[in-house]
Amino acid sequence: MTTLNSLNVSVSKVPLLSIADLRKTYGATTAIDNVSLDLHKGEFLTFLGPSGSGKTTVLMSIAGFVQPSSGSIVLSGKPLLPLAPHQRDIGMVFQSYALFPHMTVAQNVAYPLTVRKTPKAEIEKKVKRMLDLVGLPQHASRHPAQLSGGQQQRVALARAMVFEPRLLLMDEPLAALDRKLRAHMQIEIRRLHRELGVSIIYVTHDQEEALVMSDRIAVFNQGRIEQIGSPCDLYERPQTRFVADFIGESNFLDAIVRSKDKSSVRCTLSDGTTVAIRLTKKTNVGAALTIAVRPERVRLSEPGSSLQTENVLKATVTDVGYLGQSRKYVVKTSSGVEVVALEQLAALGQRTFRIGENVQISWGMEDGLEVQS
Amino acid sequence: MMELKRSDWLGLPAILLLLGIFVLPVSLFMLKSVTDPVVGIQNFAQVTKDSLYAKVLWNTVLISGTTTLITLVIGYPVAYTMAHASGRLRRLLIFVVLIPFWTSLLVRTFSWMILLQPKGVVNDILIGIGLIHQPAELIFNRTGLLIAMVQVQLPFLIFPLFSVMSKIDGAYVRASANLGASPITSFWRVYFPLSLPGVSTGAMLVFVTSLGYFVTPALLGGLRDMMIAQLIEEQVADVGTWGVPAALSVILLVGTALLFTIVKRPNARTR
Amino acid sequence: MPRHILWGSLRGVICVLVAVYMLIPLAIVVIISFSSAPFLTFPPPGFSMQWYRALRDPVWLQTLGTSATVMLPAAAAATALGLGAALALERPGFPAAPAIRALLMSPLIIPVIITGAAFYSVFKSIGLQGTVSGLILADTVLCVPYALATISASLQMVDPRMAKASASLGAKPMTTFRRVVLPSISSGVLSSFLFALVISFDELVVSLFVSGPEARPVTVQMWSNIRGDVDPTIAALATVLFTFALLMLLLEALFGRGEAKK
Repeated sequence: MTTLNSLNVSVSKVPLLSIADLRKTYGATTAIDNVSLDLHKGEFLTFLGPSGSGKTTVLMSIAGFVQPSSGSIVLSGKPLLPLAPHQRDIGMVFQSYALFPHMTVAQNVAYPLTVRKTPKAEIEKKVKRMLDLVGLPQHASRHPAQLSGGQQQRVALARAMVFEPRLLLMDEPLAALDRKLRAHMQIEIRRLHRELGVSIIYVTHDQEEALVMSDRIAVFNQGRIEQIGSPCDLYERPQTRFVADFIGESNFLDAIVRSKDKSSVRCTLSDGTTVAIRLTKKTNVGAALTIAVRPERVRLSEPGSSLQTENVLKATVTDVGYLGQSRKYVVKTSSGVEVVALEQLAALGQRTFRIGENVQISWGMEDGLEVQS
Repeated sequence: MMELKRSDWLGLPAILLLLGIFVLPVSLFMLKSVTDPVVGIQNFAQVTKDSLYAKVLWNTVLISGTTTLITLVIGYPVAYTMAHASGRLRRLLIFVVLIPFWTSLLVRTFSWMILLQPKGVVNDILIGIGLIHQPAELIFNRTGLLIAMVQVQLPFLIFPLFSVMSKIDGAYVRASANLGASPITSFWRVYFPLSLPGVSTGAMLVFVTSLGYFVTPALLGGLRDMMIAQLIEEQVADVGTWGVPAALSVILLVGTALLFTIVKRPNARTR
Repeated sequence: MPRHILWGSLRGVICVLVAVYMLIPLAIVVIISFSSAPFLTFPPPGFSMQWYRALRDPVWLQTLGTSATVMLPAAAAATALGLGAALALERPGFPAAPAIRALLMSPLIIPVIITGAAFYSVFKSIGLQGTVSGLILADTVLCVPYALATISASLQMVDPRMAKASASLGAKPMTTFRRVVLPSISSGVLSSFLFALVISFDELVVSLFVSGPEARPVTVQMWSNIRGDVDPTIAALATVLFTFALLMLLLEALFGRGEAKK
């Protein structure tokens, strides 16, 4: 059974890699706390999270450089943990590239093939194909030190893929590159993913990068996965406060449930204002919850103007930032809560507000999400 | 750092001392190789033709080379362990290798004299475990000399090697393993080549310093193990000539300088 | 994988053997210095301080005294000269800096046997052979490279911006030197002095050539005794030499570069 992912690449439903209840403790510290996930063949899965969240530790466990305290990892139906790193047949691109300085580019790329005793003619063919694929055919006899950062990156990719591994691991490969180069390499990596159809697990702390490149994202926090889903899922429907805050920006409002009906829930904020959100799960009257609203969903209007939503608060503008395609307002509500609003400068004659002005902020019922703290 | 030119004069005393009491005497002495007793290269001719001198020169190279090889074989695993050890073990190993380094050569050579004598500890142990039945000749011969020289030279190999090894990024060996190479293949194809600069620096240091050794071969070596330094001393102190020992000194120095340059060049290329 | 563990254990065994190889000889010397027997048997039959008492022999006292008389001025002179040279060479644009540095480090490269023979020939002709002054001069020359290297390393660690900051705050160059640079390198200067003391005290080969019956350091006396009849007095002396070096090392670790790290 296969479906097509966002790039129209076939993605199988039977998992290629299964991680179950993975745990890793170092003395009193828990680096990974019961992590489970499945990776499907052909998928581009990103581990996203701040440093120390455990994403790199899970990656290293898959590669074999970290021994988990408990749990299992199964690749293509076979248990992976009993195997030594050199027996796992998984490609890996290290953050520092780790290109062998005493070998040429061609020798580096050929290395995994020579280690597997591949016949010489075949090695030459495969190395050439790989170097062509990453756009570096004329650098074959150079040494890594003579290449730029971006070129070294591509050699590392070529080397990790030349032996056609089932799975490719990438540990923050673009972290050392500048913005423009990074954007360019993101496209390159996606292209290679498309052309070769290899399954990829990609580690990064950059949420924009994750959103742009992935089929699915696993958000890590303090050793646990908070949410796994497509970029759209995670952005539109974050389930926890951490995810809502880590991916994109969010405003958080603490509220208490006052009443609920079949489709919506009414809560009061700390200043007594009532707001309404969509009913998504079991919520009890009197319970405390956190509502997340994305800045681009918050609208500013003149005080007293009539609006079509019941989610309206009075506030004063405390800061205005001009961002070219949009304007960022920071306002403070009467109860002292800071809210950020992002207004696209679309229409001509759109009302702009100044610091100190009193305004109304509003958002639709669909725009507020209940998130777990 | 200081914008003053006045500070330059601070260096003058040291420069004058070294020029007057070092460069000058050494140069004058070496000059005697072609001026004493008469001008000409007869001293060099004598030194290279005479079988006794030639043998000593050859012995010196042989003993130094053997010492270097043995220190390499023993020292490489020790340096490797140091580079990969945790803080405490590493500090302990550094301490163990460093302490003898700071002890005077005389003291250490003397200690080997005590240990290697026929009634000494080493023989007692060897007889005790049944390896041999009568005391082995361990002193005043090549064996005793090598045992002592290797011990003295080990720190000179271990520290440069350790210095290079501790800078080798662990990611290289991990990458090699990830790419499918067994631990032994990873060692020979990735780690060892990367450690070679340390190996060559250490080996050269040991070899070159061994060439000029005096105290250890004089006290522990036999007549057949005479090295060039002993010959120089004998000629100056006992025989009282200048030409021959000066010629020998020139040969020793030129050999040392040549080796320094030969080993430095390949290292520069891999950069 | 078991092969990997095999190599690991082999390495461990080698390290233990090397540790023994490095340390046991010294331990034996120290133990024998307390032997009650008049020859170098091990293990010693009993404990005795007689060999340390034997050091009260006028010959030993005199030679130890000569060693002390030589090493203190030599170490002081080498440190002072090295300090001056290090400061001078630190200035960017110092003429022929690499060449001067090579000159000052050259005693390290020339095998000591050559240095000794050279000193003998020159000192003889100017009447310095067999004198304390000759020994002091020789040891100073031998110690200057160590002093230069140690103090230069110390200077390297001084942040150049501190001197600039001091100047921008109005301090004259001499004041900057006195109050900013000197305190930072004081531990390096101390290190270099202590090292020089040890080097001079342990020095044998050059001293063999430069010393004479009136000016004989303890190492030279030990040398002639070792080649004759050896008794544990030599072991006692060796222990004294070793203990001295160890003490200087300890002092250096406590007050030398270790301090600069704070």
